[in-house]
Amino acid sequence: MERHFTRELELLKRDMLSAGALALSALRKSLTALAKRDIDLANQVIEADRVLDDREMRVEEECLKLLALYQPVAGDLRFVASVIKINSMVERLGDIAVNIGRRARYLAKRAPLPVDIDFPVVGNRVVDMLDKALQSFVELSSEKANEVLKMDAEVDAAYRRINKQLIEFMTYHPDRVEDAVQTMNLARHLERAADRATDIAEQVLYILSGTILRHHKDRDDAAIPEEPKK
Amino acid sequence: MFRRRLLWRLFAINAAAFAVFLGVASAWLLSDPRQGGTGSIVAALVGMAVLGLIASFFAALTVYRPIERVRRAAEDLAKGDLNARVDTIGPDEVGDLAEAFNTMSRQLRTRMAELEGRRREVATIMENISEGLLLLNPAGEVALVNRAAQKLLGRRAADLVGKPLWQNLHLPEVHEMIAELPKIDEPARVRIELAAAGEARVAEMVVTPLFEISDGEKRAVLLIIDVTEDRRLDQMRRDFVADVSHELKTPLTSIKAYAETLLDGADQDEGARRPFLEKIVSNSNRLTKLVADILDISRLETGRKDDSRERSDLNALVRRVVGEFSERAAKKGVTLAFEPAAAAPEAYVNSEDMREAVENLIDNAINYTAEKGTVRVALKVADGRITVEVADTGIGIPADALPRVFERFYRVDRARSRAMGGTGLGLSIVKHVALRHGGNVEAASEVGKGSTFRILLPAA
Repeated sequence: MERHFTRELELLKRDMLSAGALALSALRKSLTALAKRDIDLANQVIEADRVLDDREMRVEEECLKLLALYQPVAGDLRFVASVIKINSMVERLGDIAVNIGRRARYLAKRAPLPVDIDFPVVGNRVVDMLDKALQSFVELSSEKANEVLKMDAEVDAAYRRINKQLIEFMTYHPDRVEDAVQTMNLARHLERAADRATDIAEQVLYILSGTILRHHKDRDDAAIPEEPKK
Repeated sequence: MFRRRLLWRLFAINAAAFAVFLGVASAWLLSDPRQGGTGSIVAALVGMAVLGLIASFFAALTVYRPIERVRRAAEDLAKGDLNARVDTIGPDEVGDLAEAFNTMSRQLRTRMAELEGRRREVATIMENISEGLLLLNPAGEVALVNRAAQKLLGRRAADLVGKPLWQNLHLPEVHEMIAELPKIDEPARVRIELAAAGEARVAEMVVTPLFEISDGEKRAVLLIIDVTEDRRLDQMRRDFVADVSHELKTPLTSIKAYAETLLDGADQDEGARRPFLEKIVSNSNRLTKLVADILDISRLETGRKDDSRERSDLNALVRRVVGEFSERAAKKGVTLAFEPAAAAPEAYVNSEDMREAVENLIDNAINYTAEKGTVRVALKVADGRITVEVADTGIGIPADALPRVFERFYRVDRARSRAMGGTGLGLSIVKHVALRHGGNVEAASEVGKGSTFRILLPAA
């Protein structure tokens, strides 16, 4: 029975990671679509989200089945409960990738904004964060999880910088406010993706320590005040 | 007979033992406590027995020692000491055994060295091939990973080995492939996108299942081939075909339109006929020039043409080209100046190609320079390098366009370039010629002030 459960946990981990890989790939592709102004690729990302949604449901069912069947306790319980949470974060990351894909599709049809925004750099950073967050989950490594938490501050700073740039641009170019707002949304989605990666890392720390970090610090600082929350 | 020394020794041991037995037995038989007379006989017999015992022991020792030495050596060998050998014992059976042992250990040594050499050979090849190589054991864990794979995947061997691959590669394609692995028996191929060291790479991953006849377990070899460069070239070729088609289509459309209009009755209109025919001719000329330039480019790129280079004096070559343009420059009111190099700038060049490159530069310079402007063509030699410089006081090139002017079909202003009869290939040809001669090109410009183009060539 015990060995059976361990095996089931391993399979669950693998399924979870496989979903994570899909989200990571979607995020990466959406950023490529944005950088290369590739409408086909953006459409592909938007289409592919269904697969991730399927995956999410499967992982969730798996978790519930494990809880009902084996009634795990302590560390194992924390693990399964955390997978449920990470699963929904991964699903949301997929949605964020779709949103970025939609913005990329829109912006690809417009003339490029004459603002020097380092989306590729921030984008790579976010992709790295998610990659590392998934790795911290595989290895259950608090070291890697903590690295992710540190990286989040950087992305937040970059987000604030981009916002400032865009606000300044809009002041002088009222004719392109629409495009600038879309770009701003894009930056916000990226920042949210970074937050989701951070959530995953925090969940990993919870598996390891049993302490909930979520409400200990205010990560959403970076969101500008007039942005309504979710 | 003397080779059988061990036999003799064993015989001696037995003989001595027999003497002991005889001595003890007769001493016991003869011992009569009542008769003191036999005491000395008994003593002699006991003495004989003791001597026999001692002799027997030493004789046994001579057999035991050499065998013990062989045993020790065998033990060392078993422990892995391939240098284990027995020192010379002598010409008897144990000596033969020791010899045989030494031969065996020597052969083992050479065989192992051979195997080790072969293993190292394979390991070196595996480690150093440019493709990434991974070996997965039946449990799907990484058993081996070479350097290229570590570099491509951006993970160290220590992180990869002994763990399932899906734990380290967050790529949906890899997850899928590994899930499929138990079901496939043909090599499978997936395209993956990697971002090792922040650099986006495209790779092809080929997984080949390996059936082990002996245990029926399935291992797999993963080959990761970096195809980033191929893809880039592929894309370039596709872009080129698209560009060429587009460029050819424009003049063709004009020719067709004018010809059709003429056929539809415009040829009866005296005022329209001539200008229309002129348009047809000028567009045909453009097509001809375009095709010639495209052929030039493809010839320069494939590099198949007989590359007849000879040592030439570039002063003379450039002077001739400048001469060809003097009339046109004068007509436009542009001053065309030539400054030859002080020392004779000699280089190995294909003079036809080089002339075309310089022509293209001067042609551009005159085209984009207004009346009363200057085009200065200068040659310089320094540090074994020849610089052909064409500087104008024309309209200049914006900074963001400057890095792209050598690209095929790139034009700062499409309409203007067409109006001047440009194909968009001139500078690209210049760059190709320079590269083919082991040189390079440079461009500097300031909007409104003028542009300077340089061909840098190694001197002969």
